[in-house]
Amino acid sequence: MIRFLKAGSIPWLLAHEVRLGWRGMDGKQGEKKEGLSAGKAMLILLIGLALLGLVGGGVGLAFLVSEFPLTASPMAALIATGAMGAILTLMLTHAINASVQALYQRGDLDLLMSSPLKPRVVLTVRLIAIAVVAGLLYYILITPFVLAAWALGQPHWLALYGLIAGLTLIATTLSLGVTMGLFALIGPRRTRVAAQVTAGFVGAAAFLASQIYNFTRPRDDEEGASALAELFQSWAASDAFQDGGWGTWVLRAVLGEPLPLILFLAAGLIVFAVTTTALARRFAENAAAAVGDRAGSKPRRVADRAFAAGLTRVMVQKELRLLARDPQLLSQVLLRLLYLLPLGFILFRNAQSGVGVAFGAGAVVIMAGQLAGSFSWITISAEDSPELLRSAPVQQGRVDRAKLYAALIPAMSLTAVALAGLAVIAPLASVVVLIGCLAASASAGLINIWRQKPAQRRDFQKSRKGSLLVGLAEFLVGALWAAATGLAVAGQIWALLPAALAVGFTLMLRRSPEKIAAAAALS
Amino acid sequence: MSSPDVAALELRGLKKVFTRPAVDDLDLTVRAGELYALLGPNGAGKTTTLRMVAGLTQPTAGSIRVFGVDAVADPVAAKRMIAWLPDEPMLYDKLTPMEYLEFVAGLWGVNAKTARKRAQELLEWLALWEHRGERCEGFSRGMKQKAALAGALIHEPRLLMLDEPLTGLDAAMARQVKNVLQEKVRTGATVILTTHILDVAERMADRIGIIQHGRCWPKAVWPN
Repeated sequence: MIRFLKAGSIPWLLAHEVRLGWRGMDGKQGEKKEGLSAGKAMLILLIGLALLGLVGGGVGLAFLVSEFPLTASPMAALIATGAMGAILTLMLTHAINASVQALYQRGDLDLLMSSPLKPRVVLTVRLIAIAVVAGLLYYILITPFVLAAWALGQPHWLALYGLIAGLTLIATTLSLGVTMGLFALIGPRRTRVAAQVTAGFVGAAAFLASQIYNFTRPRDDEEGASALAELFQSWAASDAFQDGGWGTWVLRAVLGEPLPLILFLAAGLIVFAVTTTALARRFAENAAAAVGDRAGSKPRRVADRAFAAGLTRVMVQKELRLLARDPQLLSQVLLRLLYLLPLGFILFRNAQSGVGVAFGAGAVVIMAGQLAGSFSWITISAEDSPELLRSAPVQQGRVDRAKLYAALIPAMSLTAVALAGLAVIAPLASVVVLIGCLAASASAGLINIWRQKPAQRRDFQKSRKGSLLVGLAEFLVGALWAAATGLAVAGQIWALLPAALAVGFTLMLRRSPEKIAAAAALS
Repeated sequence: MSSPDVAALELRGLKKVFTRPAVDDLDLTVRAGELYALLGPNGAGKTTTLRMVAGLTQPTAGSIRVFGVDAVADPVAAKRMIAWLPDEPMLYDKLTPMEYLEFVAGLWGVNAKTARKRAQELLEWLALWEHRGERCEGFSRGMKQKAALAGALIHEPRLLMLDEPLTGLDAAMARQVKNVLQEKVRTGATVILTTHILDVAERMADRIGIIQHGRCWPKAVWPN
C-alpha cells in the first residue's frame, strides 16, 4: 500500500510505521519456532477464557442496559464523568511512557530527523501511534458491549467510540506536554526518569482513587454512611450536574446527543493539531538533545581503593552498583509496590482485629515475593554482559547464587521496613511473617534462576509479558505463601496446606542445570 | 601443566550446525606464542569457531584442545587460560573501567591486590587512566574497545582471541591496539584474531589461516 502514497506525507510515514509494527509482532525473522508447549497451550487457554469472559460480560451488560436503559440523572452524570476521568488518567499513564520512548528511543528517529521530512510529519505520526496504542485496550474492552447493545436497539452506545477517540487525543497531547515540559524544566538527563515516575504515579493515583471507598467506609463496628457516598451526593446536588451543567456533557454524549459528542471530538482534534504544529520544532530539538542523555555521567572523584576479593563479593557489588545507578529501573520496581498500599492501609486501620493482622501479614509476604522476583529478574535474566559471564571460568550455578544474594539484599531491606511496622503492632506475628517473607523470596528467586531467559533491563516493564507463565507462577506461589503466613498468624493448622502447595509449585518449575544453561545461552 | 611445545589451540574435525553447517569439519593448529589471523569473508565461520573455543557455543562434533586441555570436557579449566574479545565489547555501561576490571578479575579469580595493580598498569598503558572514574556509557567505540581489551588482559591469558578487533577504530586507536597485541605475543602469549581484511592479517600476523564455508582451505596458510 505504501507505494501508492505520496512519499514524505503523513499517510506514507504512518503506513511505514504500521508495516514495522506489524512485522515486529511476528517476532524476529529466523527465530526458532518451537512447537506448542504445555505453557503456551495454557496461555492460549487463559487468553481464550479472558476473551470469552469479555464477550460474555459485554453481551450480558448490553442485555442489562436494554432492560434498564440509562437515564439522565445527576448521579448518572457524575458517574459517567468520573469514569471518563479515570479512563483518561489510565490512558495518560500509557501515553506518557510512550511519549518518553518517542523522544529517547532512537530506532529510526535519527534517520527520520536527518532526512528532509518536516518535523511536523514525524511528530504527527509518532503521536498517532501513541494515541492508537493508548486507546486500543479500551476499544477492545467496549466492542462486545457496544455491538451487542446496538443489535439490541440501543445504537447511541456507539458514541463510546467517539468518546474514547477524543480521550486518546487529549491524553496523547497532555502526555507530550508533560514530557516536553519536564524536558524544559529539568533537562534531558532527568526527564526520562521523571516522566516515567510521573506516569507511574498517575497510574497508581487512579488505582488508589478506586480504593477510596475502602479507606473511607466505616469500620465494621462503626455506624453511619461512607464519607465518600456523602461527598458524591453533595457533588451530584451541585449545579454542575443539573440539567445543562458542564458535568452532564459526558453523559449526554453517551446518551447519543450529537452536539456534546461532536464538541468532545472537535476539542480532541483541535488540541492535537495545535500541539503537533506548535511543538514540532521543539520536538526535533529535544529529540536531538536527548542523544546527549547517553553521553554518560559526569566524571566522579575517584577513590583509588582496593579491589574486592571473591566471586560472590564482586558479583554482589557489581549488581548493587548497577541497580543504584539505574533510578529509572528502581522507580519501576518501587512503583509496583504502590499497588499494595491499600492493603497496608487496611492493616493499620484494623490493627486491633486478628483478621486485619492476618491480611496485613499476607500483604507483606506478597510484597517480599514481588520485590525478590523483580530484583531476581533484573540480576539474573537482564544481565548486561551474559557472554562475559559465560566465557569466565566459573560454574553458572555459582554465578546464579551470587546474583540471587544480590537480588535479595535490596528486596529484604525494603521488606524490613514493612516488617518493622508490623513488629510494632504484632511482635509475635512479625516473626512468622519474616519466615513467610524469606520463603516467598526464595521461591521467587529460584523460579527466576530456573526459568531465566536473556532479556534487557529496559524490558523490565514487559518482563511479565515476555514470560507470562513464569509471571503467573511467581504470583501464584507468592499468593500461596501469603495465604500460609496469614493462616499461621491466625493460628490455623491449615497454613500447612498452601505452604505445601507453594513448595510443590516452585519445585514443578525446576529445571536441570543443562536446561538452564541452554536457556541462558544466546546461541 | 602443559609441555612447552604443546599447541596453544588444536581443533580437530570441529563442526557446528545451526540450520546449515556454520563450521564444517575444521582442522586447525595454532602454535604457542604466535599471532595467528583467521581470515575469511563475512559468514565464513570465523566467529563461530572462536565462540566454540571460548565455551559460548557447543560444538556439534569434533575436539577443541587449549594448551592440551580438552575444552569440551573441561571448559572451566580451558577458560582459565583464555580471554575472548568479541567485536561488540562486553562492558557494563554503568560501571567505570576500574569497577569493570575489578569485576572481571573477580570472575577469573585473580588475587585482589594483584588485580588492582594490573588494572592501573593496563589503564595507563591503554591511555584510559584519566578516565577511570567515568562510566563506560560515555566512552567512544575505541575507548570501549580498549576498556574491554584491558578486561581481557587483566587475568593474563595465555590465549587471547579477538573478533575483528580493529573494526570501527580510528587509525591511532588501531595502531595502539596492534602494539598491545604484538607486545603480548612478545611476552609469550598467543593471539588469534579474526578479520576479513587481508591487509590487516598480512601486517599483523605471523601466520594466516583462510576459512570459507566453515572450512580451512587446504594448504592456505600464509606464509606457506
